[in-house]
Amino acid sequence: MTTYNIDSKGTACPGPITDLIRAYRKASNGDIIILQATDPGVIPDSKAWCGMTKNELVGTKENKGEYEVTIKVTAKK
Amino acid sequence: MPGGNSFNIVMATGTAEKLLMLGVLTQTGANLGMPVRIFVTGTALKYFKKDGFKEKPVMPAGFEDYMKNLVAGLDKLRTDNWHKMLETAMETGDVKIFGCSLMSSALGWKKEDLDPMIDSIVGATDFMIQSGGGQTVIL
Repeated sequence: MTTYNIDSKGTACPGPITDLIRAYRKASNGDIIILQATDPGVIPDSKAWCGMTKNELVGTKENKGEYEVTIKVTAKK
Repeated sequence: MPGGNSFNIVMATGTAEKLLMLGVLTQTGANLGMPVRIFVTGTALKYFKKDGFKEKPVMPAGFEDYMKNLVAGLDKLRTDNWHKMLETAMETGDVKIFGCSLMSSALGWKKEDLDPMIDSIVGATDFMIQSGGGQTVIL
């Protein structure tokens, strides 16, 4: 299992999701992607993306304008 | 009809905020695996002439102060410009951009006069058939 730490801090929509998908393309089922961003859209956008793609949203955190989204890759074919 | 689940954009207005939104929506559609079909017409076609993207886009009239603040804020973010977003979307997704035949004819522009990212010059009929069934937004 690989953990991908993605730093998208300072980017704006659609930067964080573009970075997430770049990591996802390299990942395999069971891998973890941790996406850090400052764009406030990253949490709803990541939730929607996980819902659409059937990957698992493990959790989200917010701290003073910084956001962290953890996703377990479960839907790679 | 082809393009049943595609996301379609009629890009008609060549102002700075609409060009940026074109980049954002196209990149997002490509991220989500949607085919994206773009029909460039009206004043937007100016920025799809060869090297036209290098020109500073027109600011929308009446929003000068707002746009000044917006541009200053965007400059502080790690955000690609609209043309780079289109390039990235075309590299990673199924994105096709078409030039409007009416506007091209009126301006005397041929395919070779346009940005290489323009797939071809087509009429509204071809675009509507290619994008049939998918949702379409007009910018």
